[in-house]
Amino acid sequence: MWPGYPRGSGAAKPADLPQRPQVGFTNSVIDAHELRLSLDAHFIQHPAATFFFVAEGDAMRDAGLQSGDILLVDRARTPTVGKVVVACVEGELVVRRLARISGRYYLTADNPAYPPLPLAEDLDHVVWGVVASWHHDETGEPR
Amino acid sequence: MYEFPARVFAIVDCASFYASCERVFKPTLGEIPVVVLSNNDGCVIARSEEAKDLADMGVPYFQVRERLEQAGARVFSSNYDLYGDFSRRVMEVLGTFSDEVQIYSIDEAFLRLPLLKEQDLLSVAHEIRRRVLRWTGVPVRVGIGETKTLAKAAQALAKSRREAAFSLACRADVNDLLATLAVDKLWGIGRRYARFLTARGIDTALALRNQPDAWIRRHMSVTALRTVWELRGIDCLSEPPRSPRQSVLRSRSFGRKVTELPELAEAVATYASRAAEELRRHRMAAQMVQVFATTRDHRAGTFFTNTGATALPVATDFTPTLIAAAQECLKRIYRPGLRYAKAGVVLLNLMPADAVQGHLFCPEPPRHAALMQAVDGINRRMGTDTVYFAPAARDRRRAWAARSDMKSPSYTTRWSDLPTASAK
Repeated sequence: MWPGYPRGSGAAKPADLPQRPQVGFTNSVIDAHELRLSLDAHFIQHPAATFFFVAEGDAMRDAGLQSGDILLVDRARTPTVGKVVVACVEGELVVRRLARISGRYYLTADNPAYPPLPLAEDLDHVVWGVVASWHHDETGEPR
Repeated sequence: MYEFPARVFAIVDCASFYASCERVFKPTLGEIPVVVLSNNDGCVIARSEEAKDLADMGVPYFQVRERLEQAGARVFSSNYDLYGDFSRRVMEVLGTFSDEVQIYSIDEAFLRLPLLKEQDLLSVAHEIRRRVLRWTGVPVRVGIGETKTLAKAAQALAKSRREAAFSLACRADVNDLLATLAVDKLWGIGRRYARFLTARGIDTALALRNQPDAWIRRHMSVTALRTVWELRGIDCLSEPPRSPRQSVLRSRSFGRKVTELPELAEAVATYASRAAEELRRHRMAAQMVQVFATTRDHRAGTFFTNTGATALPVATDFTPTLIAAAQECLKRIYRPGLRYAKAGVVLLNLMPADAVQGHLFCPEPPRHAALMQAVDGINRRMGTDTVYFAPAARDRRRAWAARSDMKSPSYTTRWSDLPTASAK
């Protein structure tokens, strides 16, 4: 996006974009630029309430969450049973699935190696936020 | 009976804002006293509720250090990346309640609310509080009134009653409530006026409100008269006259004493860049650049400060021009052999950037504006000093950078600092 850039005029281009030879079609090129899909707009419904975390460990392995993946945690969403959440457990922020087993809330892992953690009834205090999506980098390259 | 007001104002302030930000990603800090220190870890600038008895605001850290340690308090260096990001988030959430949010400070904002009955207003206040806390993790307090001054009075009453929300709007018992509010707690009444009024027996908000206009005019300023009218429910401040900024200052104490010119020049260039950024945020241009450098030795009691200024041919907001002017000043005032403790840059003679008169002999090339826009955009998106001008080193890497040994990670503004969610 080029804020304030007068379209079709001969004004100087913002310096953050590579200079293009002037060959016409300028307007359609700009329009296409503005149409570029935004991952933020697609994955972040509540920007003021969305925080990024890095997952560490394999407790959510069977859900496809790998260590090092980036979690988008949305605090504006209501935690409901079945959702993956970030929660405070013994002073630590953990990622687990919210479950209800015989009338009690639990945090369960998507990996049989981890036992379910029973929760107090006051979910508002325990659940930090709801995981809206997570993102895995396949290149393995450092960022 | 009261008249039904045309509109109501809410003031929303974040309780112990910096300390609250520090707590969001650290659940263990729940009940522990939390203290935040100023730049350079000098003084206490924020305290959680639990820490208020342990350290006064502004007290030098070394004086209370032992006491805080004994009480098991957690102490943080200030982390403005974090607080700034949380401030933006809080303001964004407030924007979901009103189209008119006036940001008053980093942790305070006025909202104009749709008109409702008192009970409804209180429930809106609680909903504001609930949503900001839920979405951002930051607790807030809400005061509601028919004018901004009454909203502030409601906020003060909420504070003294230890309530999270309080409304003075549309209430038959406003007088009784204003009678419980000391005049020195009023917004817009400074300490001197408060003493003056109290000495004359006008010691509550109600007493001041009932004072005749003529008396106020004779003994106090027009601003005070406005405050009195506002207390009567007459809105005088909803469109405050925007006083244009007179200057932009950026300065800091060094982490250790600096003696060499190149190091000092680097610091000054950084401050000039920061000040220029602020200037552009306000769409202003500066025509005068002032630089000061200070030595300070408390033990010897010596204090030396030198100031220089350079006038530019044309007012500008272009960082390289401002850096060059600042460095030229610095060279003039620099004295070898002195141990400098602090330096700063002040941009003066400000004017709206679009009103700058071009100079016949040195027109500002138009592409400069585009370059500055790009630099500011990148720094806003990727973090301060992602892109910087060569004379200005990135201060966190440099020796002269301020001390901030106990700074928490920039959880929300730096990829390398993201918090961990344990899947173990």
